[in-house]
Amino acid sequence: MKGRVFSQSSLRLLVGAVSFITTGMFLGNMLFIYMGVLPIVYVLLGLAIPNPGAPEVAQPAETSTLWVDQDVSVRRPISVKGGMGHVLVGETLPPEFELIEGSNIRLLWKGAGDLDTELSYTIRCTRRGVYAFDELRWESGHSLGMTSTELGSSEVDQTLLVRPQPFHIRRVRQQKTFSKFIMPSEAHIKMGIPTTEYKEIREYSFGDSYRHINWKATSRVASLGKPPMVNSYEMEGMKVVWIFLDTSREMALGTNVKNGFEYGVQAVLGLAQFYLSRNCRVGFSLYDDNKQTVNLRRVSRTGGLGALPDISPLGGASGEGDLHLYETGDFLIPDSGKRQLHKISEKLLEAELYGGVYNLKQSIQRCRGHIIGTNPLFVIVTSINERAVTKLSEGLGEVRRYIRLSRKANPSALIVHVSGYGITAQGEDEEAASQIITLENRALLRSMRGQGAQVIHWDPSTQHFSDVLLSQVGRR
Amino acid sequence: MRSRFYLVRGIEILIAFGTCLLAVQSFFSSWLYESINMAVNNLLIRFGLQFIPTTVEVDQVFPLIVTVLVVLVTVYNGLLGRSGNIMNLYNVNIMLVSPELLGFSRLNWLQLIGVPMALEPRREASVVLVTCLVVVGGYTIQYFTSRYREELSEYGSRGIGKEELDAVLYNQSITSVALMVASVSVVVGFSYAVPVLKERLHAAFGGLPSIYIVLGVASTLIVTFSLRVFLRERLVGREGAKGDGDSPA
Repeated sequence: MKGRVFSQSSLRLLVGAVSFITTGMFLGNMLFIYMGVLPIVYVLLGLAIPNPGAPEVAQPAETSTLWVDQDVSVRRPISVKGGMGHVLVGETLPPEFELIEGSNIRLLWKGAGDLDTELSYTIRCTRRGVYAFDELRWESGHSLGMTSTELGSSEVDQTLLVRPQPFHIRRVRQQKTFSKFIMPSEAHIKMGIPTTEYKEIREYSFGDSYRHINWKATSRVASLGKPPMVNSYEMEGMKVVWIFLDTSREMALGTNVKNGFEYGVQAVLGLAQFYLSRNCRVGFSLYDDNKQTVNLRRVSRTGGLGALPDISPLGGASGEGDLHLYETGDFLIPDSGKRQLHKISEKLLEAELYGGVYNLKQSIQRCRGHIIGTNPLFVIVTSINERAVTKLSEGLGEVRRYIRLSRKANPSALIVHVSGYGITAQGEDEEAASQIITLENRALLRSMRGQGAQVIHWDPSTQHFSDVLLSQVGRR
Repeated sequence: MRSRFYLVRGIEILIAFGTCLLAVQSFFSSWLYESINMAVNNLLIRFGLQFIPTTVEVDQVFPLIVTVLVVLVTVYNGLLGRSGNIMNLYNVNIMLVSPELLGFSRLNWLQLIGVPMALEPRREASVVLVTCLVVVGGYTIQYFTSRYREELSEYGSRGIGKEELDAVLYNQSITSVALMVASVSVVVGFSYAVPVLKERLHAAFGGLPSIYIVLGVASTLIVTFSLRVFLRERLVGREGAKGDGDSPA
């Protein structure tokens, strides 16, 4: 805090006072002198009242977790002691936050007594990420504006962890329906050791253990002459799912807040949650098909799998930046359970557009050591267009190398095509144009299906992700 | 309802109106007005334009016209509430008060410039003192309030609600008025204390004219205070410039 400096108003008044006194002294006129003394007394009395002290902020909870688009109330109890005048307190909000209610800036009057109040407002975060609120800025002004305003900041230690909202995908439990939504090949095994993970309730069939009969459900359907109902449990197995999220410019269609990539992040989180809840081991990687080719073979010779490439993936020379990318890791090895979901969630929090280091093919190659022998399901969340289709085909070619094709010829990969044109379209003309482009892209989607992938077309502007997946449900 | 805002504006207009009336009254009590009045009458008689029959009636009509004009200007300036307008108002008021004020000077400056006219005060010195203090005090309050309002309007552009702005302005105005009342009281008390002090000083300093002592002490204080302010401004300004220079690019 700097020393107090007279404001221009005070100096101007003092100059006027001195001129009155000088005139009075020259003319021998005491009334002039008294007129000059008045502003001086006024300023001196005013200066005896100091500016309000620095506001003290009660420390809030250090870290709060919330979902994207969730409202959060922020309350900052503020206490100002000493002095008199106005105090402006405010907090800078990141651009991703939307002020819903109240104000993040307040002008307060600090009277003779202590001031205890609070800065409260409601905000909504429109984008995932980690946001730190580390200071409350303030301005403290003299009660009459006689001294210059003091500026400062009080420490606030709060972090808002904004997580992407996952699309909860529920299992269809009606017996007459079945899901065409693909699962890893290993998930279709009927034999194996049942886990304690509940799968569904179904009619008793020969060979089921009596211990698994659900007596309550059986009593409900007994009058209808139906066989007993049994609880079915997931079988233990090596079900592995690899999810690849595209971070290239193809996913950037839309606004900063709502774009293909943000919807892709939410889809990935939903899919990861779905597969993890089915006892699958889920791996995750980011990729960017616009990144130039990196010579991975040389890398494996010099440093083995996962070693630092000798050519910068971003086109520049290798340096600390590349090392950082490597150290933070651009993929997560498959694992199961809530911990893995948390890891994926953390990874997605940091994920940014253009954040992928390798293209799809290279990303798969880098994960090769963890893929071989697991016969996994590949899920690729991307936006398909003419520019991206070649690289995607190369990626699918790489995928086929690790897939053991079954007799039923199940799809080797699931591609979630996030159509971003609908997000950007505004007005009838643009919507019509977006529909035309979507129709044109159908041929590309067909070509992807021809390469053994199941393609789900998702337009976030018109469909919820759950609805898209429900369209994969058929009747027996 | 912005009741506090309108209350502050009401106080401002009341101050402007009150100071203006006092200034006009002071002008009509001055030797200058008497001279102007006589000159106007003589001109009217000389050119045969005396549509008002007697001097007595001119005395009644002329102040009325001047008062209405000044009040209109005052209200207009007061309604605008800008610091520039407040300055104009203050200048007008000081101009109106000055003739009567000059009547209390020990030095007859008119005789110095060769005008044979005696500056005789028409009213009591205490009445004139209160008038002058009210004029200067009113100006001071209005000046600070207008500057403060300008500062607050900047806050308004930064998203502060009008209610909060009005509350701060209201409290500032109340503080300013209270402080001015205290200051006027101090100065009035000082003016009554001066004659007593004068005698004491005269006795203490062995017949040295007290005016020299008062002026000497006052001058010393003023010079010291001004020097302190000047040096402080210089030092703080230099520290600020140094700090800016040190800041990383």
